[in-house]
Amino acid sequence: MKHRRSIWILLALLLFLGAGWLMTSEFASLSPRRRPPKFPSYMRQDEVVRMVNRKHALMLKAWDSATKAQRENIENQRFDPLLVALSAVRTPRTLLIFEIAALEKLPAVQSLLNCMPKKVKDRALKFKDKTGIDPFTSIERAAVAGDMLLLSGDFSGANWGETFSGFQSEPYGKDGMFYSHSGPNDAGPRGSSFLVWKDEMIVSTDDPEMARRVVDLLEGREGFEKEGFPELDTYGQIYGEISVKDAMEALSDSKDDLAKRFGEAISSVKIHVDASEDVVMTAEMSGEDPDRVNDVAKSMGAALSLLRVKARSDEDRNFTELLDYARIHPEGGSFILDLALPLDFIQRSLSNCRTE
Amino acid sequence: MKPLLSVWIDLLKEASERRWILAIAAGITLILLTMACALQLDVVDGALAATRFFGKPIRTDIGAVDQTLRPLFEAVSDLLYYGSLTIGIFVSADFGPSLLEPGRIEQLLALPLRRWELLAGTFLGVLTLVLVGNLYASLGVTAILGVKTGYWTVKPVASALMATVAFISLYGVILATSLFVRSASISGTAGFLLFIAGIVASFEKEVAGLFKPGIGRVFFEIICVPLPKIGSLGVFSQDLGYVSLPDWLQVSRLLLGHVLFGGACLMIGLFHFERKDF
Amino acid sequence: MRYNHHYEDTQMNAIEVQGLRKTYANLFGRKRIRALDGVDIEVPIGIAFGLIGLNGAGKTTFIKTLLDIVQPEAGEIRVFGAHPESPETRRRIGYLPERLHMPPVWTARSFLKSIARLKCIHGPDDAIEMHLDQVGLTTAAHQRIGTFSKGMMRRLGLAVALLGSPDLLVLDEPTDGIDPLGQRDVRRLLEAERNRGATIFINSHLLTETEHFCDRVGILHHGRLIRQGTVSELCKGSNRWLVRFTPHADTEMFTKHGFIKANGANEWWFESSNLESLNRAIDRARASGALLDGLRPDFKELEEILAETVEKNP
Repeated sequence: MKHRRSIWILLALLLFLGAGWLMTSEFASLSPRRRPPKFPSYMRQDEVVRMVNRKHALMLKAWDSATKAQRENIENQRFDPLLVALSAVRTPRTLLIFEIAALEKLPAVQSLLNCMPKKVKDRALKFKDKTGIDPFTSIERAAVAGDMLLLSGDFSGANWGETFSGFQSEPYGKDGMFYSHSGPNDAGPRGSSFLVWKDEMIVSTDDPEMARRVVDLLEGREGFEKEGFPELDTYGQIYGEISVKDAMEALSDSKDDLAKRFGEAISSVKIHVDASEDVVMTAEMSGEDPDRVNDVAKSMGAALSLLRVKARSDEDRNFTELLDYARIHPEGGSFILDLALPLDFIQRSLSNCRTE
Repeated sequence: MKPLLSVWIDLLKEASERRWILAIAAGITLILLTMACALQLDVVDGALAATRFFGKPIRTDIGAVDQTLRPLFEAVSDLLYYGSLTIGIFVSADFGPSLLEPGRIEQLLALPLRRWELLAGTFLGVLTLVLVGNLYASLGVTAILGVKTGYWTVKPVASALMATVAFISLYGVILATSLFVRSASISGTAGFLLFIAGIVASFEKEVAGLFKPGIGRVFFEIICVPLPKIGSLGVFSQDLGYVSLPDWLQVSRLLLGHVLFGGACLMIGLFHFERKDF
Repeated sequence: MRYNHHYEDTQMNAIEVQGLRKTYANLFGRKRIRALDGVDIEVPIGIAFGLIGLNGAGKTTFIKTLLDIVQPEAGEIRVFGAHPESPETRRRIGYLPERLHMPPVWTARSFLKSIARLKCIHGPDDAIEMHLDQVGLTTAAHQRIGTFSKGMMRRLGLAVALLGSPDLLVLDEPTDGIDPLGQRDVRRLLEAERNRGATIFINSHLLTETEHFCDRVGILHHGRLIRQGTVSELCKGSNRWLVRFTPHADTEMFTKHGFIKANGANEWWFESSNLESLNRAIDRARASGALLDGLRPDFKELEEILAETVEKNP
C-alpha cells in the first residue's frame, strides 16, 4: 500500500516538472502584442513646451494710440510668428504646417529618408555648401497655405547672396528683405519672390502683396484678430486645415454622391498627423447641422468598411492593414476620422527600396 | 472505470439539484437576456453605425463591424475568461468538503470503488459543470452579437474553453486543499490565491523588475516557474483571430502546462487521500 | 427460556482479524490514542455477531477497519478470505455507518439508484422498491432526503446497506433513532437476512437487542477484545439452576434433595454441572409432592456481564 501510494507523489513531481518546463516564460511568452495606435487628440507636454518657447513679443498695431493699461496688456502678450504670419491668408484654402525638425528624427521618416535617391541627398548637400542652409537642420517648420510657402527656423548661417543669386533684393519694413526677379511690386511666376524676415522666416509666394502683409503683421504695422491657425491645435508633426473644396475633390470618386453630401454638411476639416511611432492621422470634420454631419459620418464609415471588405476579398493585405485601424468617431455635431499606417508596415513597404 | 463514470454523473445530477447552482444559471440567463434586449447595434453596409444600451446611445466608433466590435469582443473575452474562473472557484469550493462530510465519506468508501476513482470522478464532474456553464454563457453571447451584427465568431467560445482548461489548474489546488482541510472557505481561498499568483506569474518579467537584483528576485523567479500562467492565457483569449501560428503552438504548451499542474495537485491530494482515515 | 442457537461449522470465516492495532495521533504526533490494541476475532459465515463495549472502546474503529475506511498500523484483516481494500471484497459488504449524511437534495429513490450504480447492480428498480418497503419508506420514496427525520435517515441507510443482497452486513447502531415498532421491524429484517445466509456484524449500545439477536458477542474494552463467545457462554453465571415450585408446606424436603433457598418466593437454587443430576433432583422433589413451576439456568444480563468485565479490566 505504501509502495503504491508513493507512486502518486512520484507522478506529482513529474507533472510539476513538466508543467514548469512547458510554462517557463521563454517558451510561454507570446509575441509582443501590437499596441493599438495612439491617435493625437490633444497637446502632449513636449508640444506645450514647444508652443510656449516659440512665442515672441510682437508689437501690435496701434501701439501709439494705446493707453498705458493697454500697452501693458500688449507687452505681456506673446505670439508665435508663424501663426501670426499665416493670418495673412484671407480666403479659405488648405493650410498645412509641417514640423520638419521633429519629423526628421522619427522612425517612419528615417525609413523614408533611407529610401531617398542618392542624387537628391547629394543635391541637398551641395545646396547646404552653397547657401549655408541645411534643408534637414536649418528648417524647423514649413507651412503651406494655398500658394504661399513659409519656412521658419534658424537661417543665421545662410549666405543670402548665394541663395538668391540673380535675384533683385530690396529691404522691406524693419527686418525684411525682399528678393525677386522682377521687383517687389510685380507679380511673377510661382516661387518667383521671396521675403526673408529676421533670419528666421522665409516666405515664398507669387503674390508679393501677401508677402508684404506677412511682414506688416509681424512688425505690427497691421493688426490681426486671430492667428492663422489656433495655437492649441498645433499638436502632431503635421497639422492644419483642409479646405472643403479640396476634401470634396478627394472624395469625388465616391459612387453614392458622398462628396456632394460632404460639401453640403461639412464646413471645417482639421487634420493632425503623428508619426512618433506608427503614422496616424485624425481628421476632425464639423458642420452646422448635426443630423447631416452624422449622416455623412455613417456613410463614410460604411464606405471604409466596404473598402476593407473589398481589399480583403482582393487579398490586398497592405490596403487591408491600412484600413484595419480606420474608424469614425461621432461627436455630436462633428466626427473624427482616424487612419493609421503601422510602423512595421511602413518599414516593410520601404525595406526593398535601394537608392542608386 | 464504471464507478468513476457513476461518481462523475452523480455529481452532475446532484449539482443540478442544488439551488445556488440553479441561481447562478438563472443569473447568467438574466444577463444574456438583458444584453439581448437592451443592446442595439445598427449595422449599415457591414459598418457599425450606432450602439444603444437601454435606448441610450453609447459613443462608439463607426467602422467595419469586426474591427469596431474588437474592443467589445476583447471585453467580452476578458469577462468570460476571468469571470468564469472567479465564479468557478466559488462554485467548486464546496464539492470537496461535501464529499468528505462525516457519514457520507464512510458510506462512499464502503462501496466497491477505489479512492482514486472517487476523487477523479469528483474532479471531472466539477470540471464538466464549469465547462457547461462557460459554454452556455459564451454561446449565448456569440448568438446575441451574431444576430445583432451579422458578424459570427467563435472567439467567445474559444475564450470560454481556454478558461475551462485554466480552471483545471485552479481546481486541482482547491480539491487537494479540501482533502487536507475539510473547509470550503479555505480551499476556495487557496484557489483564489493561485488565481492571483497565476496572473502575477504571467507577467513575471515585469514584476521581477520591481525587485532589487538579489536573492529576492531569484526566489520570485523560481517560484513563478511552475505556477500556471493564468494571465498569459487571458491575454491570448483576447487576441484570438489576430495571432500567428507560432503563438498557437505557444498557447498549446500553456494549455498543456495548466493540465499538468492541475493533475500534479490532484496527485498530491490523492497521496493524502489514500492514506487518510475517516 | 432462552434458546441456545447452534451455528454451523464453516470452512471459511466471514471475518478473520489477527493482532489488529490502530493508534490515532495528531498532526505533530504528540497526543496518541490507542484505539485498537491487538484484536483477534473470527466471525464464521452465516452468524450474527454483536460487538459491545463502552464509549471509546474502539468499536467503530474496528468496524471501519473491516471496510478499509480506517487503515490499521499492524495486524491482519481478512473478509471472506481477502483484504477489504479490494473493491470485489467490499462489493459483498453492506455497511450502515454510525453517522449518516446523505445528499439532502436527492430523493430516497434516486439516492438508492445512485448507490445501485456505484455497486454495479443491474436492473435495480425491483430491488430498490423491495428494500424501500422492507424499511418502511415506500410512501416517502419520492421525498427529498433533506426532509427526513433521523429515524427515516437510518431506515434509508439500512436500505442502502441491504442493496445488492450482500453476504456480510456491517451495521453500526442499526436501530438508533428508530421508533420501537420500527426496531422490531428491523430485527425481523435482520433475522430474514441471517436466514438468507448473510453474516451480520452489529455494533449496538442496545444490549437487549444484541442479546436476543446475536449468536456470538464480543466485548471490546480499551481496544482489546476482553471476552467473546455465544450469548449463553457469556451470560451463564454458574452451574446453578433456578427452580420454582408451587408453594409446599415441607420446605425441608427441598433442602434434603439438594436445593438451596433463593431470594424469590418458592425459588430454589440447584447446583449441577449436568442435566441428569438436575432432573433427578426435580424428580425426587416431585415425588415428594412438589409441583415444578419454573426452571432457568443462572444467566446474567449482558449489561451485567459488561459491567463485570469492565471492572475486572480497568
